[in-house]
Amino acid sequence: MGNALEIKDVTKRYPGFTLGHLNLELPSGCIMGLIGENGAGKSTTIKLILDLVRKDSGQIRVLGEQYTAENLKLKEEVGVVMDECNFPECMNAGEVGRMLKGCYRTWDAEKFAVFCRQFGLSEHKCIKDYSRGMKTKLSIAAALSHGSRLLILDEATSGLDPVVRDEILDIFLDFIQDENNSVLISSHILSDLEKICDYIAFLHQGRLVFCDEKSALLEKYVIVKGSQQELSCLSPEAVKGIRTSSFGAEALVLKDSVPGGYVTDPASIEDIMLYHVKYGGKRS
Amino acid sequence: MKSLIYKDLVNLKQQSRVFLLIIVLWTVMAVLEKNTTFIGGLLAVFGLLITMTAYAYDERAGWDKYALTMPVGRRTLVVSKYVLAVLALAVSMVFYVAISTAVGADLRETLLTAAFFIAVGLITSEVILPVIIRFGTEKGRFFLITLILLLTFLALLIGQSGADISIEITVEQAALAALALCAVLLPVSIAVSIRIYTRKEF
Repeated sequence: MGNALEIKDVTKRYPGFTLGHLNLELPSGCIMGLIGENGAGKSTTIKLILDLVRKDSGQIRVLGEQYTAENLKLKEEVGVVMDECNFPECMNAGEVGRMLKGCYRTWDAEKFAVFCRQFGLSEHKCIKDYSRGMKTKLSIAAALSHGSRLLILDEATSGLDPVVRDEILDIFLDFIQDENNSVLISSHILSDLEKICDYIAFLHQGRLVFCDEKSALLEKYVIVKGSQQELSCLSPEAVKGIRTSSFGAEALVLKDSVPGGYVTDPASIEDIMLYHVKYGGKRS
Repeated sequence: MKSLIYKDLVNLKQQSRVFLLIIVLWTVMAVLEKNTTFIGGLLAVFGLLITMTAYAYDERAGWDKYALTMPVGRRTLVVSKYVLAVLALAVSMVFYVAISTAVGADLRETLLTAAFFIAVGLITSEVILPVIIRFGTEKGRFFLITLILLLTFLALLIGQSGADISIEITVEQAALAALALCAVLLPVSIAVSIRIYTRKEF
């Protein structure tokens, strides 16, 4: 069992934005969540993986191979859902299915039809009349209906209602029951990622802040509550961010560095991200 | 490749109704006037427009971004649009030949004119496609219009200068010359387009 995805020291420079020295490893059989604010570099990372933009340096291996435009065999095995539905809007689901059947050798028309029924996608309605959620569902149905071993999803659950989101998360969980399959998903909806991800990678201003197992992350940090004075006694290296209010202060702190006697709460992924970005003046 | 053409045709089906309506109207006029050359030219322009419209639809949907994740090479994506251009022109010329023969025009001349129109339509596509791939349909359209205006202006200038450049050529010679130019340009244009497209970022 190798890595479904390996990114080694990848750098991409744009005028005004640099995604720098990115290192990521996604073991197969796992789901990795890519989090970060708008413009943090999530979509750029995904585009780099899919060779839609050229990297300036570094190495990327997808399912052990180099992902290039002409590596058609590898492309059969990578299912992609972009942040918007990229199927031409005058087509309907039936036509999309027929088109993809001709593109993918591994296309499973029956599976696609089942997904369409499950998602309530009418075969005869034009994509332009779909709601945002339906467009996303169509993209997901397509990505799952060929020989995908790796799913790459850019903001795939945004714009969906909680019920559908839950349904789709279940589908992803189902997908990785086969330990040859893996998922990389970027999202703003951290609760979704917290539900399904094994790994969380956090990008901030084009830099990877951390990439850790989710359970380890949740173990690693705690929220410490107290007065500002109490919190200032904590070791500065251990404090990742402090939020002060008129009632006192809260800080995200490395759990191992918190001495006894402090009031602590478990930290969610959202807390970890917010404290790093918003209240972590020292770090950025 | 077949699937890509299928996608373009499905996409164009709405647009094609408008095209058909215009064609029918002009056909009626052509039949009444007993002169079908004009409708031939019009059909050739439609053949060109179809390819450009297909690109416009792709662009609006951000299709390329997805298409490049399918097991389809960049080369194939480029070539498919050239195939579409040839197909569209061929089909519109079949229309033209059918209409012309229906009103009793000379078949040989009609076929030669059709060949001429296909060639001119293709030459235009060969010039415009690399521009569209590089700069997008919006600027491509602008480029095409500028090109046509420039050529018209040039023709006007030459006409006004009074130079005697009138040369007698037959339809046959015109068709052959256009086809030859079209054949020479085609591999060049495809090569340029592929080169641009393989370097493109999305």
